[in-house]
Amino acid sequence: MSATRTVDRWLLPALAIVIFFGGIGIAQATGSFVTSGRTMGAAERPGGAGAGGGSGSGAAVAAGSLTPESVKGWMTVQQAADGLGMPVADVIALIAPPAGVVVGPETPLKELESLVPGFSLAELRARLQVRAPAGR
Amino acid sequence: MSLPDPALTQRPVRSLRAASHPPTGRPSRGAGPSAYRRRIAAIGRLHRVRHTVQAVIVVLVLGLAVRHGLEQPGAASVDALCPFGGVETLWTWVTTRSFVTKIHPANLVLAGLLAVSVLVAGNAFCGWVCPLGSLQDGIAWLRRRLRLRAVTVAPRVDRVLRCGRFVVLAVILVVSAQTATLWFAGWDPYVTIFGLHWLLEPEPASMWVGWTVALGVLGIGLLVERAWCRYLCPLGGVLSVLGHLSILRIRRTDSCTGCDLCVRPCPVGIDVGAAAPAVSTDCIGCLECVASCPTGGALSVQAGAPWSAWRGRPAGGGGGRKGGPGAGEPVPATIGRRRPGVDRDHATQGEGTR
Repeated sequence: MSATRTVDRWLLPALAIVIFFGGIGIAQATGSFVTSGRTMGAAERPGGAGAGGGSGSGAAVAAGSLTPESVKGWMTVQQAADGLGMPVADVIALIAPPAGVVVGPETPLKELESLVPGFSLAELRARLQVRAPAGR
Repeated sequence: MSLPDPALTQRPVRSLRAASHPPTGRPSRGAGPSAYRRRIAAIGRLHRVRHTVQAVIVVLVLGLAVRHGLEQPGAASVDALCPFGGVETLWTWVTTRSFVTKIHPANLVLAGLLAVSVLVAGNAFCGWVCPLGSLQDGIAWLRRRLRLRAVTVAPRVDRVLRCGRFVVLAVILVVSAQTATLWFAGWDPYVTIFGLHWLLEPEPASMWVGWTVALGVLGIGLLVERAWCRYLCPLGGVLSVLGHLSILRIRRTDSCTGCDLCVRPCPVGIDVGAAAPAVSTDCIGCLECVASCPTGGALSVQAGAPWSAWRGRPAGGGGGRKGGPGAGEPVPATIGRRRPGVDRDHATQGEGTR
């Protein structure tokens, strides 16, 4: 028969909270707690472009540093095109905005869902997968 | 933000008064005015601490949601702060090393930490940390304040409904893996409520599904305490399975007199009085039952090998309802049961039995 031992009742929530939030603290300290694609993108960018945890839409993305899967909603059309090494016009063509809807290089991809009927980032990634230069 | 303490002001007083004269007629260990006052103080202390912790975490999550809504650089979305996101993306991450949309490494970290936490301390996350659970506790408090009757769910129905968590979990995992998107986000009441999109950038045309689900969850929570946790929460489904491996569990010992005063305060309707010896893995670790127990040591938090909870009964045969329903766990049959001499006091308060 396995032995059990009575412990202070407060140990139950205390351990749960300490493990959970202590772990988050350790993950943050070690840089593993990445909560934003923006932050992740900055960290992964060659040369540290935009380093500093989320420089946002104004940051440059190194040419060829992205794969279609790593395109994020926070990126602008320009950043996605730069990262993929594609002309902006090609990316806009894949987005296929309807007549009357203006999609420019500075348009964030996450705003396209409200601008372009039926648009989804997953669908764009799939189209980019087909269109992107071989070797990516 | 700490909720007022109805259990301290009304419920426990009556309940614990009954506890001094348990229906078995046996004097309970520690009965008497001073023991009675100690229990009242213990319940009050537990409520103060738990509700304070819950309120702090809710405020923290709401603060982060506001930061994200105001597009502060690097601000995390509530999607990125949910351990269930780690579960949703697990298959995609293992097979392709990428994440489903809106999910980030933080979700995997949170899921891993939660798993460790459950292995050590059971599902206390649900009772102390989860913001949606805290909100449901607030809804239950509101129901008591409004003196609304709780809906009685028949034990058999309750048992079937609890399987709903696994159905929801299976659907989410399959669709998320197939589409590599955070498919459930549009339905998830946690995202809908705590993401604050309904407040900061409402778009009824695209958000009505989430709003409907969230209102439904809150509405049902007004009738059945923590209904989402009991019947639908997919993360709760994962944790209830993982909870079988927990080291710390609430266990019933042979000093139990079978007064069943531990049953009523349980927010998730576990038949604590039938625990043999460990309570169900649906337990959210709120400690309400332990604090309500009038018999010293009859319910306690015990550390032991997980398999010690898989065996039959408390050592020595156990007191109380020996070999009660199922004589094991989980026994989700408490809702709607009314026991003569035990629930009598509760019924006088205009509240349904659990």
